[in-house]
Amino acid sequence: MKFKDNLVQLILGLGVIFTLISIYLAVIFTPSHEVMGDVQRIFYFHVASAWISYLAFGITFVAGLFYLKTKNLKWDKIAFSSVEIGIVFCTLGIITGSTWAGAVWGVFWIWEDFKLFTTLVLWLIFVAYLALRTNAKSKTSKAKLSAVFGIIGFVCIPFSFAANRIWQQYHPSVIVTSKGSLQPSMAFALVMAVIAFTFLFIYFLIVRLNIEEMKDNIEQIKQDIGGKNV
Amino acid sequence: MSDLYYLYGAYTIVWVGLFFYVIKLHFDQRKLKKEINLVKGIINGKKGNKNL
Repeated sequence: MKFKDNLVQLILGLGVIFTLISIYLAVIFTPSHEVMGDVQRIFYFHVASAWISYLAFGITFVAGLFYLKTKNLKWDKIAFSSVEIGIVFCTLGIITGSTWAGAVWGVFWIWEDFKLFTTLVLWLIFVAYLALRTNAKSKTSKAKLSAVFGIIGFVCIPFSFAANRIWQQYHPSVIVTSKGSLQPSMAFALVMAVIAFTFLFIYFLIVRLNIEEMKDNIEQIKQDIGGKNV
Repeated sequence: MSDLYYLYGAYTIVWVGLFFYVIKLHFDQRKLKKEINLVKGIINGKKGNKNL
């Protein structure tokens, strides 16, 4: 238990350190973009948020598959916890993207852009996933429905990821072309932001799973009281 | 509106958003810890009464 606590503290510490480094890199170290100016600095945390949301929903997908195979509720807890965190990061990605769009495009949202549309659909699917869980009757039916929904939701990720590369509409491509329009210092800042958010994600996931375990403990104790009438 | 306002706005949203999520997790954990202690207290109380 002590080892686990120390590990969690270490992950949080690394998350905070990498976050501070990535803020320094994004705000001070990297040069302003030639065309967009300082507003381009939004992109480091926008992209990192989007990547982490893909990671979170990816974990939900894998955990959903494991649940359907093993019927072990542990996988359902991992899937559910990961969805909640994924929605937080996806929301941040959408809002920061819209803020950037407001500055660069002059409008906060373009409905015709497939990247924006598929990302919004992805967000809505996983918000629906959370809503679905509140209506399911038993734990197993909730877990089964969630696993299926999580797997279906994951299908949207490749579309959201590749939309700007395939259709090349308004949303710019980040990891770009053979010419490579991303300067090394910018790429470095982006990688550091992704690492920082990955540590934060792991920390959130551990804490979120701990909360699920505590809920289970309470339920178990209550059942024991009711069953045995101590 | 200056571009910098958009930049400040986006950064504020990210850090305030993450901060609030951390706070939410912290309060959820604290609430559940209290509930566990309360339920354990009830069990121990009942056991104590039986032993009397």
